[in-house]
Amino acid sequence: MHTDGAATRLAAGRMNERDADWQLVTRVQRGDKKAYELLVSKYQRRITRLLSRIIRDPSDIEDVAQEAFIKAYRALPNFRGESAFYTWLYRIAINTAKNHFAAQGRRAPTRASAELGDTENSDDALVLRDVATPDAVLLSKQVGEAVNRAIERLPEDLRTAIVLRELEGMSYDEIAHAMNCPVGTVRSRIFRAREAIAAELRPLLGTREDRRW
Amino acid sequence: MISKQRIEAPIETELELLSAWLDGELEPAQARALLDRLKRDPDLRVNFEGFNLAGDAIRSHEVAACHAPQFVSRVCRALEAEPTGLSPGAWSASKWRRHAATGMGVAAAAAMLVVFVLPQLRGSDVAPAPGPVAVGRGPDKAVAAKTAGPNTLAARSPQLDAYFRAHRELAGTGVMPSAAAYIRSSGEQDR
Repeated sequence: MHTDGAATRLAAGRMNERDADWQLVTRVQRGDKKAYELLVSKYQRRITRLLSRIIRDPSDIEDVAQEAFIKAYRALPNFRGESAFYTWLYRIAINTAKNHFAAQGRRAPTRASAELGDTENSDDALVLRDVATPDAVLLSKQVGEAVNRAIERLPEDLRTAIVLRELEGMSYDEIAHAMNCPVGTVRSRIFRAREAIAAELRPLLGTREDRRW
Repeated sequence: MISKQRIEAPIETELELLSAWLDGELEPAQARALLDRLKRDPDLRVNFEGFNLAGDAIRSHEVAACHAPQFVSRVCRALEAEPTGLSPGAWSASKWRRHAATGMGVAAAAAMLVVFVLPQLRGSDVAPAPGPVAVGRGPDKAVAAKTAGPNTLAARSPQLDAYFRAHRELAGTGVMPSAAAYIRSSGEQDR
Protein backbone atom coordinates (compact mmCIF):
# COMPACT_ATOMS: atom_id res chain seq x y z
CA MET A 1 0.00 0.00 0.00
CA HIS A 2 1.18 3.43 -0.85
CA THR A 3 0.81 4.80 2.65
CA ASP A 4 3.29 2.24 3.95
CA GLY A 5 5.74 3.17 1.22
CA ALA A 6 5.25 6.83 1.94
CA ALA A 7 5.86 6.25 5.62
CA THR A 8 9.07 4.39 4.84
CA ARG A 9 10.30 7.11 2.51
CA LEU A 10 9.32 9.83 4.96
CA ALA A 11 11.21 7.94 7.68
CA ALA A 12 14.18 7.80 5.32
CA GLY A 13 13.95 11.58 5.11
CA ARG A 14 13.04 12.11 1.46
CA MET A 15 9.77 12.17 -0.40
CA ASN A 16 8.92 11.72 -4.04
CA GLU A 17 6.41 13.56 -6.18
CA ARG A 18 3.63 11.13 -5.29
CA ASP A 19 4.30 11.68 -1.60
CA ALA A 20 3.84 15.42 -2.13
CA ASP A 21 0.34 14.72 -3.46
CA TRP A 22 -0.27 12.34 -0.57
CA GLN A 23 0.67 15.10 1.89
CA LEU A 24 -2.00 17.31 0.32
CA VAL A 25 -4.54 14.47 0.36
CA THR A 26 -4.02 13.76 4.06
CA ARG A 27 -4.44 17.45 4.80
CA VAL A 28 -7.74 17.50 2.91
CA GLN A 29 -8.83 14.40 4.81
CA ARG A 30 -8.19 16.31 8.02
CA GLY A 31 -10.50 19.08 6.82
CA ASP A 32 -8.09 21.46 5.03
CA LYS A 33 -9.97 22.72 1.95
CA LYS A 34 -7.06 24.93 0.88
CA ALA A 35 -4.99 21.81 0.33
CA TYR A 36 -7.65 20.57 -2.08
CA GLU A 37 -7.45 23.85 -4.01
CA LEU A 38 -3.79 23.07 -4.62
CA LEU A 39 -4.69 19.66 -6.04
CA VAL A 40 -7.31 21.30 -8.29
CA SER A 41 -4.77 23.86 -9.45
CA LYS A 42 -2.22 21.16 -10.18
CA TYR A 43 -4.49 18.80 -12.11
CA GLN A 44 -7.14 21.01 -13.70
CA ARG A 45 -5.39 21.13 -17.09
CA ARG A 46 -4.78 17.39 -17.33
CA ILE A 47 -8.40 16.62 -16.40
CA THR A 48 -9.74 19.26 -18.80
CA ARG A 49 -7.53 17.90 -21.56
CA LEU A 50 -8.77 14.36 -20.84
CA LEU A 51 -12.40 15.46 -20.94
CA SER A 52 -11.88 17.49 -24.10
CA ARG A 53 -10.98 14.23 -25.80
CA ILE A 54 -14.26 12.62 -24.71
CA ILE A 55 -16.80 15.46 -24.77
CA ARG A 56 -17.28 17.35 -28.01
CA ASP A 57 -19.07 20.41 -26.72
CA PRO A 58 -16.45 22.83 -25.31
CA SER A 59 -19.07 24.52 -23.14
CA ASP A 60 -19.69 21.24 -21.30
CA ILE A 61 -16.06 20.35 -20.69
CA GLU A 62 -15.38 22.82 -17.88
CA ASP A 63 -18.69 21.97 -16.16
CA VAL A 64 -17.91 18.26 -16.21
CA ALA A 65 -14.36 18.94 -15.02
CA GLN A 66 -15.71 20.96 -12.11
CA GLU A 67 -18.20 18.22 -11.28
CA ALA A 68 -15.41 15.63 -11.35
CA PHE A 69 -13.35 17.66 -8.87
CA ILE A 70 -16.33 18.09 -6.55
CA LYS A 71 -17.08 14.35 -6.70
CA ALA A 72 -13.44 13.61 -5.96
CA TYR A 73 -13.58 15.95 -2.95
CA ARG A 74 -16.61 14.10 -1.62
CA ALA A 75 -14.95 10.73 -2.16
CA LEU A 76 -11.55 11.78 -0.82
CA PRO A 77 -12.21 10.68 2.78
CA ASN A 78 -12.24 7.10 1.45
CA PHE A 79 -9.10 7.46 -0.70
CA ARG A 80 -6.41 5.35 0.95
CA GLY A 81 -3.57 5.99 -1.48
CA GLU A 82 -3.42 2.55 -3.09
CA SER A 83 -2.92 4.35 -6.41
CA ALA A 84 -1.49 7.73 -7.31
CA PHE A 85 -3.93 10.57 -6.70
CA TYR A 86 -4.08 11.44 -10.39
CA THR A 87 -4.91 7.85 -11.38
CA TRP A 88 -7.79 7.90 -8.92
CA LEU A 89 -8.93 11.34 -10.08
CA TYR A 90 -8.70 10.23 -13.72
CA ARG A 91 -11.20 7.41 -13.07
CA ILE A 92 -13.63 9.78 -11.37
CA ALA A 93 -13.39 12.14 -14.36
CA ILE A 94 -14.08 9.27 -16.79
CA ASN A 95 -17.13 8.17 -14.78
CA THR A 96 -18.37 11.75 -14.55
CA ALA A 97 -18.12 12.03 -18.34
CA LYS A 98 -20.09 8.79 -18.73
CA ASN A 99 -22.76 10.12 -16.37
CA HIS A 100 -22.83 13.33 -18.39
CA PHE A 101 -23.66 11.37 -21.53
CA ALA A 102 -26.23 9.26 -19.68
CA ALA A 103 -27.95 12.38 -18.35
CA GLN A 104 -28.27 13.63 -21.90
CA GLY A 105 -29.72 10.33 -23.01
CA ARG A 106 -26.65 9.58 -25.05
CA ARG A 107 -24.07 6.87 -24.91
CA ALA A 108 -20.46 7.75 -24.30
CA PRO A 109 -18.31 7.13 -27.36
CA THR A 110 -16.71 3.72 -26.85
CA ARG A 111 -13.85 2.05 -28.59
CA ALA A 112 -16.08 -0.44 -30.38
CA SER A 113 -17.83 2.37 -32.21
CA ALA A 114 -14.82 4.44 -33.13
CA GLU A 115 -11.77 4.33 -35.28
CA LEU A 116 -9.39 5.77 -32.72
CA GLY A 117 -8.59 3.89 -29.52
CA ASP A 118 -5.94 5.82 -27.66
CA THR A 119 -6.82 5.60 -23.97
CA GLU A 120 -4.76 5.89 -20.84
CA ASN A 121 -6.74 3.11 -19.18
CA SER A 122 -7.85 0.39 -21.54
CA ASP A 123 -10.63 -0.95 -19.30
CA ASP A 124 -12.52 2.30 -19.52
CA ALA A 125 -13.17 1.53 -23.21
CA LEU A 126 -13.86 5.18 -23.85
CA VAL A 127 -12.50 6.73 -26.99
CA LEU A 128 -10.24 9.69 -26.42
CA ARG A 129 -10.38 11.72 -29.61
CA ASP A 130 -8.05 14.41 -30.72
CA VAL A 131 -10.71 16.66 -32.15
CA ALA A 132 -9.83 20.16 -31.03
CA THR A 133 -11.51 23.43 -31.84
CA PRO A 134 -9.57 25.91 -33.99
CA ASP A 135 -9.18 28.12 -30.91
CA ALA A 136 -7.68 25.26 -28.90
CA VAL A 137 -5.31 24.40 -31.75
CA LEU A 138 -4.18 28.01 -31.99
CA LEU A 139 -3.66 28.35 -28.23
CA SER A 140 -1.76 25.09 -28.12
CA LYS A 141 0.51 26.34 -30.89
CA GLN A 142 1.10 29.61 -29.05
CA VAL A 143 1.92 27.75 -25.83
CA GLY A 144 4.38 25.58 -27.73
CA GLU A 145 6.07 28.62 -29.21
CA ALA A 146 6.24 30.39 -25.84
CA VAL A 147 7.73 27.35 -24.08
CA ASN A 148 10.26 26.77 -26.82
CA ARG A 149 11.22 30.44 -26.75
CA ALA A 150 11.66 30.36 -22.97
CA ILE A 151 13.71 27.17 -23.06
CA GLU A 152 15.95 28.47 -25.84
CA ARG A 153 16.69 31.57 -23.79
CA LEU A 154 17.77 29.54 -20.79
CA PRO A 155 21.47 28.99 -20.14
CA GLU A 156 22.56 25.50 -21.12
CA ASP A 157 22.83 24.17 -17.54
CA LEU A 158 19.29 25.33 -16.66
CA ARG A 159 17.88 23.90 -19.88
CA THR A 160 19.49 20.53 -19.26
CA ALA A 161 18.33 20.39 -15.64
CA ILE A 162 14.69 21.22 -16.39
CA VAL A 163 14.50 18.83 -19.34
CA LEU A 164 16.00 15.97 -17.32
CA ARG A 165 13.52 16.65 -14.56
CA GLU A 166 10.28 17.34 -16.49
CA LEU A 167 10.73 15.16 -19.55
CA GLU A 168 12.96 12.36 -18.27
CA GLY A 169 11.51 12.32 -14.73
CA MET A 170 14.94 12.05 -13.12
CA SER A 171 15.43 12.74 -9.41
CA TYR A 172 17.68 15.56 -8.22
CA ASP A 173 20.32 13.03 -7.20
CA GLU A 174 20.32 11.50 -10.67
CA ILE A 175 20.50 14.89 -12.34
CA ALA A 176 23.34 15.94 -10.04
CA HIS A 177 25.21 12.78 -11.01
CA ALA A 178 24.53 13.32 -14.71
CA MET A 179 25.54 16.98 -14.61
CA ASN A 180 28.40 16.46 -12.17
CA CYS A 181 27.26 19.14 -9.76
CA PRO A 182 25.84 19.32 -6.20
CA VAL A 183 22.15 18.55 -5.59
CA GLY A 184 21.64 22.08 -4.29
CA THR A 185 22.79 23.46 -7.63
CA VAL A 186 20.32 21.20 -9.44
CA ARG A 187 17.53 22.44 -7.20
CA SER A 188 18.44 26.05 -7.91
CA ARG A 189 18.73 25.50 -11.67
CA ILE A 190 15.35 23.80 -11.90
CA PHE A 191 13.73 26.55 -9.89
CA ARG A 192 15.21 29.30 -12.12
CA ALA A 193 14.14 27.47 -15.25
CA ARG A 194 10.59 27.09 -13.97
CA GLU A 195 10.43 30.74 -13.04
CA ALA A 196 11.54 31.79 -16.52
CA ILE A 197 9.08 29.49 -18.31
CA ALA A 198 6.17 30.49 -16.04
CA ALA A 199 6.94 34.15 -16.73
CA GLU A 200 6.81 33.52 -20.47
CA LEU A 201 3.44 31.77 -20.20
CA ARG A 202 1.85 34.30 -17.88
CA PRO A 203 0.57 36.81 -20.48
CA LEU A 204 -0.58 34.03 -22.75
CA LEU A 205 -2.61 31.98 -20.30
CA GLY A 206 -3.94 34.70 -18.05
CA THR A 207 -1.91 33.81 -15.00
CA ARG A 208 -0.74 36.89 -13.19
CA GLU A 209 1.49 37.19 -10.19
CA ASP A 210 -1.04 39.41 -8.40
CA ARG A 211 -4.08 37.28 -9.16
CA ARG A 212 -5.82 35.67 -6.19
CA TRP A 213 -7.81 32.47 -6.20
CA MET B 1 17.97 36.47 -19.64
CA ILE B 2 18.90 35.10 -16.27
CA SER B 3 22.45 35.83 -15.28
CA LYS B 4 24.67 32.89 -14.41
CA GLN B 5 25.83 34.53 -11.17
CA ARG B 6 22.26 34.84 -9.92
CA ILE B 7 21.53 31.25 -10.85
CA GLU B 8 24.41 29.91 -8.80
CA ALA B 9 23.66 32.03 -5.74
CA PRO B 10 23.27 29.74 -2.70
CA ILE B 11 20.30 31.67 -1.32
CA GLU B 12 17.46 29.38 -0.40
CA THR B 13 14.33 31.24 -1.30
CA GLU B 14 10.82 30.20 -0.46
CA LEU B 15 10.06 29.79 -4.16
CA GLU B 16 13.03 27.48 -4.54
CA LEU B 17 11.65 25.36 -1.71
CA LEU B 18 8.28 25.35 -3.46
CA SER B 19 9.89 24.18 -6.68
CA ALA B 20 11.74 21.41 -4.84
CA TRP B 21 8.58 20.31 -3.05
CA LEU B 22 6.75 19.95 -6.39
CA ASP B 23 9.43 17.44 -7.34
CA GLY B 24 9.15 15.63 -4.00
CA GLU B 25 12.69 16.72 -3.12
CA LEU B 26 12.09 18.35 0.23
CA GLU B 27 12.64 16.99 3.73
CA PRO B 28 9.29 16.10 5.35
CA ALA B 29 9.62 18.76 8.04
CA GLN B 30 10.39 21.44 5.44
CA ALA B 31 7.48 20.21 3.34
CA ARG B 32 5.09 20.54 6.27
CA ALA B 33 6.23 24.08 6.96
CA LEU B 34 5.89 24.97 3.28
CA LEU B 35 2.35 23.58 3.15
CA ASP B 36 1.43 25.70 6.14
CA ARG B 37 2.74 28.77 4.31
CA LEU B 38 0.91 27.79 1.11
CA LYS B 39 -2.31 27.70 3.07
CA ARG B 40 -1.80 31.25 4.31
CA ASP B 41 -0.04 32.95 1.40
CA PRO B 42 -2.04 33.63 -1.81
CA ASP B 43 1.10 34.83 -3.62
CA LEU B 44 2.80 31.53 -2.97
CA ARG B 45 -0.26 29.71 -4.33
CA VAL B 46 -0.10 31.76 -7.53
CA ASN B 47 3.53 30.68 -7.92
CA PHE B 48 2.49 27.08 -7.24
CA GLU B 49 0.07 27.40 -10.16
CA GLY B 50 2.71 28.99 -12.39
CA PHE B 51 5.31 26.30 -11.68
CA ASN B 52 2.82 23.51 -12.35
CA LEU B 53 1.75 25.23 -15.55
CA ALA B 54 5.37 25.43 -16.67
CA GLY B 55 5.79 21.71 -16.08
CA ASP B 56 2.60 20.91 -17.98
CA ALA B 57 3.69 23.15 -20.86
CA ILE B 58 7.07 21.43 -21.16
CA ARG B 59 5.47 18.00 -21.22
CA SER B 60 2.48 18.84 -23.42
CA HIS B 61 1.49 22.06 -25.17
CA GLU B 62 -2.06 20.73 -25.50
CA VAL B 63 -2.42 20.15 -21.77
CA ALA B 64 -1.06 23.61 -20.91
CA ALA B 65 -3.42 25.18 -23.46
CA CYS B 66 -6.35 23.78 -21.43
CA HIS B 67 -5.55 26.23 -18.63
CA ALA B 68 -8.63 28.14 -17.48
CA PRO B 69 -7.57 31.03 -15.22
CA GLN B 70 -10.82 31.11 -13.22
CA PHE B 71 -11.28 27.36 -12.91
CA VAL B 72 -9.82 27.03 -9.42
CA SER B 73 -11.91 29.96 -8.19
CA ARG B 74 -15.04 28.31 -9.56
CA VAL B 75 -14.28 25.02 -7.84
CA CYS B 76 -13.45 26.89 -4.61
CA ARG B 77 -16.85 28.59 -4.65
CA ALA B 78 -18.56 25.25 -5.23
CA LEU B 79 -16.53 23.71 -2.41
CA GLU B 80 -17.73 26.34 0.04
CA ALA B 81 -21.12 24.62 0.04
CA GLU B 82 -19.54 21.25 0.71
CA PRO B 83 -19.24 19.94 4.25
CA THR B 84 -15.69 19.41 5.41
CA GLY B 85 -15.02 15.73 4.91
CA LEU B 86 -13.01 13.70 7.35
CA SER B 87 -11.41 10.41 6.45
CA PRO B 88 -12.60 7.22 8.15
CA GLY B 89 -9.20 7.16 9.81
CA ALA B 90 -9.70 10.59 11.27
CA TRP B 91 -13.25 9.63 12.29
CA SER B 92 -11.93 6.48 13.93
CA ALA B 93 -9.42 8.53 15.84
CA SER B 94 -12.12 10.75 17.29
CA LYS B 95 -14.25 7.68 17.96
CA TRP B 96 -11.27 6.10 19.70
CA ARG B 97 -10.90 9.20 21.85
CA ARG B 98 -14.57 8.98 22.80
CA HIS B 99 -14.17 5.32 23.66
CA ALA B 100 -11.04 6.05 25.67
CA ALA B 101 -12.92 8.72 27.62
CA THR B 102 -15.74 6.25 28.31
CA GLY B 103 -13.23 3.59 29.35
CA MET B 104 -11.54 5.99 31.74
CA GLY B 105 -14.93 6.75 33.27
CA VAL B 106 -15.60 3.06 33.78
CA ALA B 107 -12.12 2.57 35.25
CA ALA B 108 -12.68 5.46 37.67
CA ALA B 109 -16.00 3.96 38.75
CA ALA B 110 -14.35 0.58 39.25
CA ALA B 111 -11.59 2.21 41.31
CA MET B 112 -14.21 3.90 43.49
CA LEU B 113 -15.88 0.53 43.96
CA VAL B 114 -12.63 -1.14 45.00
CA VAL B 115 -11.51 1.64 47.33
CA PHE B 116 -14.74 2.50 49.08
CA VAL B 117 -17.40 -0.16 48.59
CA LEU B 118 -15.51 -3.47 48.73
CA PRO B 119 -13.96 -2.83 52.16
CA GLN B 120 -17.47 -2.12 53.41
CA LEU B 121 -18.73 -5.42 51.98
CA ARG B 122 -15.77 -7.46 53.26
CA GLY B 123 -15.72 -6.08 56.73
CA SER B 124 -12.76 -4.53 58.46
CA ASP B 125 -10.62 -5.02 61.51
CA VAL B 126 -10.31 -1.31 61.79
CA ALA B 127 -12.71 0.12 64.32
CA PRO B 128 -15.50 2.06 62.66
CA ALA B 129 -15.85 5.74 63.09
CA PRO B 130 -17.66 6.69 66.25
CA GLY B 131 -21.36 6.81 65.66
CA PRO B 132 -24.61 6.41 67.46
CA VAL B 133 -24.01 2.69 67.90
CA ALA B 134 -20.54 2.99 69.39
CA VAL B 135 -21.57 5.64 71.81
CA GLY B 136 -24.83 4.09 72.77
CA ARG B 137 -25.53 3.29 76.38
CA GLY B 138 -27.87 1.11 78.47
CA PRO B 139 -30.97 -0.15 76.70
CA ASP B 140 -29.98 1.67 73.55
CA LYS B 141 -27.17 -0.87 73.11
CA ALA B 142 -29.54 -3.71 72.32
CA VAL B 143 -31.42 -1.62 69.78
CA ALA B 144 -28.15 -0.48 68.28
CA ALA B 145 -26.89 -4.07 67.99
CA LYS B 146 -30.08 -5.01 66.14
CA THR B 147 -29.94 -2.14 63.69
CA ALA B 148 -26.19 -2.13 63.17
CA GLY B 149 -24.56 -4.15 60.39
CA PRO B 150 -21.94 -6.87 60.78
CA ASN B 151 -19.12 -4.30 60.75
CA THR B 152 -20.09 -2.85 64.03
CA LEU B 153 -17.55 -4.82 66.09
CA ALA B 154 -18.10 -2.77 69.18
CA ALA B 155 -21.68 -3.96 69.33
CA ARG B 156 -20.80 -7.66 69.01
CA SER B 157 -19.84 -10.13 71.67
CA PRO B 158 -16.13 -11.11 71.97
CA GLN B 159 -16.98 -14.74 71.11
CA LEU B 160 -18.66 -13.70 67.91
CA ASP B 161 -15.65 -11.56 66.98
CA ALA B 162 -13.30 -14.51 67.59
CA TYR B 163 -15.52 -16.65 65.36
CA PHE B 164 -15.49 -14.08 62.55
CA ARG B 165 -11.70 -13.69 62.84
CA ALA B 166 -11.18 -17.44 62.62
CA HIS B 167 -13.57 -17.66 59.68
CA ARG B 168 -11.73 -14.86 57.84
CA GLU B 169 -8.39 -16.62 58.33
CA LEU B 170 -9.84 -19.77 56.87
CA ALA B 171 -11.69 -18.14 53.98
CA GLY B 172 -9.08 -15.53 53.05
CA THR B 173 -9.87 -12.00 51.94
CA GLY B 174 -10.34 -12.42 48.19
CA VAL B 175 -13.38 -11.50 46.22
CA MET B 176 -14.80 -15.00 46.81
CA PRO B 177 -13.80 -15.71 50.41
CA SER B 178 -16.43 -18.36 51.04
CA ALA B 179 -15.59 -20.21 47.82
CA ALA B 180 -11.90 -20.23 48.84
CA ALA B 181 -12.85 -22.05 51.99
CA TYR B 182 -14.56 -24.77 49.99
CA ILE B 183 -11.59 -25.04 47.63
CA ARG B 184 -9.21 -25.53 50.53
CA SER B 185 -11.47 -28.10 52.17
CA SER B 186 -11.79 -29.97 48.92
CA GLY B 187 -8.02 -29.99 48.49
CA GLU B 188 -7.54 -31.30 51.96
CA GLN B 189 -10.01 -34.10 51.29
CA ASP B 190 -8.08 -35.12 48.18
CA ARG B 191 -5.00 -35.56 50.26
